[in-house]
Amino acid sequence: MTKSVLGGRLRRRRLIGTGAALGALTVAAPYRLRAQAGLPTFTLGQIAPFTGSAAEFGEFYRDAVRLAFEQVNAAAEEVLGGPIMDQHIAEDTNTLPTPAIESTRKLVEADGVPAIVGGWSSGVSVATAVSVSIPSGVLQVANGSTSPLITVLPEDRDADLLFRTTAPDTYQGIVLAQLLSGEIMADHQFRSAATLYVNNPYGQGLSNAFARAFQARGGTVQAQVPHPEEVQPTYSSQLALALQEEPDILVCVSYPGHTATYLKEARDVFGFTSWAFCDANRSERVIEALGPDVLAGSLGTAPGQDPSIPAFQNFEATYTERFGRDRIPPFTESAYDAGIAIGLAGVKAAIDGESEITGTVLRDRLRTVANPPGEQIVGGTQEAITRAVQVLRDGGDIDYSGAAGACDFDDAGDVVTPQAIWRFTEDGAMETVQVISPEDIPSE
Amino acid sequence: MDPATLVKAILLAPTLTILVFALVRIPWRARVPLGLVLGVGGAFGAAATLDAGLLSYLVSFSIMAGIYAVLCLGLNVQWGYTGHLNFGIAGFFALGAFTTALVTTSAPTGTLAQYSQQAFGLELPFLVGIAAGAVVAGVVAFLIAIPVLRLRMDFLAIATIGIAEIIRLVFQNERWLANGPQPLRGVPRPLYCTVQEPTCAWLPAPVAAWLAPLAPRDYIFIYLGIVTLILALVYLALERAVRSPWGRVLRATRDEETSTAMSGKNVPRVRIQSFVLGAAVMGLGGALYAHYTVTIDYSHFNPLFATFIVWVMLMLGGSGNNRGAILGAFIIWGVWSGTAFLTEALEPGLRAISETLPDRSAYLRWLLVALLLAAIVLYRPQGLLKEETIVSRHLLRRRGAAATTPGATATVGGAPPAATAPEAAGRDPGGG
Repeated sequence: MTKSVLGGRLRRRRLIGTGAALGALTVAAPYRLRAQAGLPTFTLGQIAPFTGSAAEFGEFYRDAVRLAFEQVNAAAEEVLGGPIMDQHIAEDTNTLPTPAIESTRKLVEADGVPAIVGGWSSGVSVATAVSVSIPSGVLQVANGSTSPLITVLPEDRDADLLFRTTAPDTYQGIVLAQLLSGEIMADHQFRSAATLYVNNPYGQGLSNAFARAFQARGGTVQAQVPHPEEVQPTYSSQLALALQEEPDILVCVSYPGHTATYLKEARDVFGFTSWAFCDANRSERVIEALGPDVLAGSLGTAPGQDPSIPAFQNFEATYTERFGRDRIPPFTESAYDAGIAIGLAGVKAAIDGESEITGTVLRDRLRTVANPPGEQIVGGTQEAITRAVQVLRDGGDIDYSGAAGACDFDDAGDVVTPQAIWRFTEDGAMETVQVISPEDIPSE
Repeated sequence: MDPATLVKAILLAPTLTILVFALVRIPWRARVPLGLVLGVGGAFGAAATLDAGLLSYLVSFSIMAGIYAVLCLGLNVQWGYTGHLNFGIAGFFALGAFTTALVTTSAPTGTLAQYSQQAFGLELPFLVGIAAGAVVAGVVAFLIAIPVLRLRMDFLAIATIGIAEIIRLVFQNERWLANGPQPLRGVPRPLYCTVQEPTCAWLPAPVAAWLAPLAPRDYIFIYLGIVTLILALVYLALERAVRSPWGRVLRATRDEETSTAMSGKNVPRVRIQSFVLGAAVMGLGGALYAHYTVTIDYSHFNPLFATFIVWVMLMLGGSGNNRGAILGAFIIWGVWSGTAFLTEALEPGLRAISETLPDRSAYLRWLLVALLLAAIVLYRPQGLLKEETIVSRHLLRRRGAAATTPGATATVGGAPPAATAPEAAGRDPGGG
């Protein structure tokens, strides 16, 4: 559907022309010419939510992958003499598994892509991976799926084709438990907690991960109460259940629309204002609904986006300028990382002399380009990606460090991203208080 | 032709043969050789000429369309023949899918059990699973039918929407039952071992050697055969049922309930029977779906892709006509998937209009589907294939004999359009 054809007809014609001219002139440099003519290319697929409940994010994710596509291709043209990817095709998932499977089938079978970026929600990513990508030997790198199930997915144990550039919720759950049990800030300690979570893989997974880690630290989780995904006019029954045993703090694992409604009720009806937040609540909407006074000082956690790391700043600058966007929604930077990692793996495959770039060829090189050892490449800028391709051409190793974090894939295909502690300020804003780097996060 | 293509062609041949049998309406004596020739020839022709990827795509497309066709047949029993305005297809679809998943998977153990929960996992064979899916959907339909079928038309529609949502929300919220909001995975694929290495232990060596060129990604060719077979069986069974006296009572109940009751028929019982039969067929469709996608969760059974698209399929194909139901499923699913290619083909034109327009093609696709739906309702309310006014085999035979005599009407199984159009328009579910 949406295509950005960099190696389009015009450019290809120009390339052929240049090639012919060069061929007539430089008989003395047969090696370079052969390398140029023999550069294998592949098509990069993407599934993104353009319609449905996450419709607002689809275009951002597509543009992020498009940026990665353009940068890797520009680098490959400069260093290797030709693009590595011929097309970037983004298909709609409708934020639902059934159409997502159909779109993935189209990409894998009709378009013949060896790699797919995407799957925003975990339900979609697992469904497309298990029923299409893994049996077809296609690499899938999810950019927004945080369900812990993906780590242990049995279908992927031997196939090893499902990766993701976002950390599983397990880590955020652990950091949230550390925060509330006083391990991070001595004066921020609670003995008991209750969670109120949105009933989908995200909310349920994070709530369970937090509860397990909090109990392991000696705290009591008095209740974990789910609420529907659709915003309700009132949450009094859920709040009554969560606050029944008078917890010290209420952990809100919901989206801003929900939180804005139920926190108002918690304050006005139940007189309860001791709250902790997660990434999904880091939103203006919550402040608008409640006012800054009551929120000031409340702490929360968030994975991924760490505005202090240079790769994110580079990415933010390039992305907002290239596409005229004024904000970067969650998981946009991880979509970019997924695109770059796949692109660089393709470059590496081409340099290794692979004649055809398949899903497994890319998979075998994904960790090579993204993990240490090697020269660190701080993503986000064209120069950095060009440098990465140069190092690869010269036979060196690279360690891509992405906009969402170090982008080092473990054996399960997961990455560990930094976790931020943030708070609502007195003047109605949100600020990052502290960033916990991946190596400081305990395993449980 | 390389070995893999050859095997694929042979696997496709039965499906295409069945298709020709179903579509071509000529006497059996000529139909058998014609079906074989066209089916086998078509399969080899397609396998030889089409690009391997495109062929696979068409196969996976046909599987999904086939599953929708089963759902459509189920709805046709309820709406097409009996006039039940069931907007709760998603509920029976989900029941069939989750039942077969629970019956055929194994309960998670070890670290996986931390992330995946289910009430039980019986590890029974595929056929038991899909039968259980149909039975459970039928039983639930029966329990629902007693209070709900007192309602008519729009009230029934509201009640069934509610029931479908309840079923979906139960599966979303009850973690112990089927992993709650998280995906329930590991639904086995029937005969998957035939494309694996090593192959099934029970498979005779020659067959195994013959199937050897197939890779796991070619499994869809096997599953297409399974779906086609089940679709054909459901079609034959339902055709038999609706052409029987029982089927005529259904249609009589739909058109003139009071007269039917006056003729001594037990109308409430017939209405319940048809509701249960339709729901069981939908459950079967759900079971086929679960074995195809391998993983399911509540979000698969959302009203748009599990209820309303089936309605559009039946409305387009022709309610009250089983062949129309199947045709509608293939056409609508083709339109939905085809618009993805269409917007791609339109890209240069779109770019000429505005630089950013191709970026919006995901939304243009919905526009095309909506326009098509509006066009159907406006110009073809009775569907592509109209309901047959005479369905009894005995009457058809007599008519067939009469048709050969001069002066008698030559159309068999197709009434004058004027007779059926108002009737079909009158039963239009709020769209017309």
